[in-house]
Amino acid sequence: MNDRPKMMQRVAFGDALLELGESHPNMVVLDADISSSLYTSQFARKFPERHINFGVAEQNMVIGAAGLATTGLITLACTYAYFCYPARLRADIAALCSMAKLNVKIVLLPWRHRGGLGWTTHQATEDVAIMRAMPNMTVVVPADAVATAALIRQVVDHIGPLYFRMGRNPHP
Amino acid sequence: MLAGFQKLTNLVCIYDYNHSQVDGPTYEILSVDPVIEKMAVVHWAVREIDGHDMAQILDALSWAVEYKDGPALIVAKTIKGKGFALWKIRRYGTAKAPNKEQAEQALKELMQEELS
Repeated sequence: MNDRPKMMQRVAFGDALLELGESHPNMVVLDADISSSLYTSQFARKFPERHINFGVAEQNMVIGAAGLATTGLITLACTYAYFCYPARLRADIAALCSMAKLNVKIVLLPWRHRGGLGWTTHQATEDVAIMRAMPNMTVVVPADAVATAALIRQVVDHIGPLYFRMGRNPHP
Repeated sequence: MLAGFQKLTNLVCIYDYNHSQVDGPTYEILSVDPVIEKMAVVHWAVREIDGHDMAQILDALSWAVEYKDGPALIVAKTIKGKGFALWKIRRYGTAKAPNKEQAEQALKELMQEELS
């Protein structure tokens, strides 16, 4: 049977960020209090001057990302996909990132329902459809950790707003 | 802001003031301080208590229910994992639960503290 080692996409993402931080000195990573879960904490430790943790304030983070992007920086705003649902935040993504064509990369991780009511609060099911409806927005959904590592390199070199949506569980 | 402006007297909020969030202590990520002054400015009545002291909690709740000039905020100062040595040495633990052994150890320590 299939006994290839499994890897989570966010692990590949976190490792790729360390390399990209070296090769792209104008890249900044933004977080909203879950850097340890998204493996962006490694980037934060290596490049603390290029990492901003906004706390539990995703809307603030996206507005901040748009502002930073106007100065020529490549900004990666990272959180769980579900936290992009609130209408006000969605409006900010539409107005500040997608319509203004700013170079903001929104990196998301959807939680999957694991049983128990608590997890349903983090379950994203409509986010790809919402983002695809926005003008100028590119949506990238890697299939596994290998694709994540390969695609995130193209994502940071892509000019324009982009939604990068990883999966939660490890894949072979 | 709305609650203070509308003088919502039946509203009582207990704020677990433990300086803890997922990525670390609030004073390193995003501090809400000074929370008492901020809430007072938007017309909440505020009382600060030791959130581990049951007598103080009951006293504050009575005060909040009797207060009729607007919403009341009880700022309960707490320490995450108080009474459990392993949890206390961790810098934070908002999103993490103890495993089975840690939970049993915690219960043992808390029971000892209760008896002494």
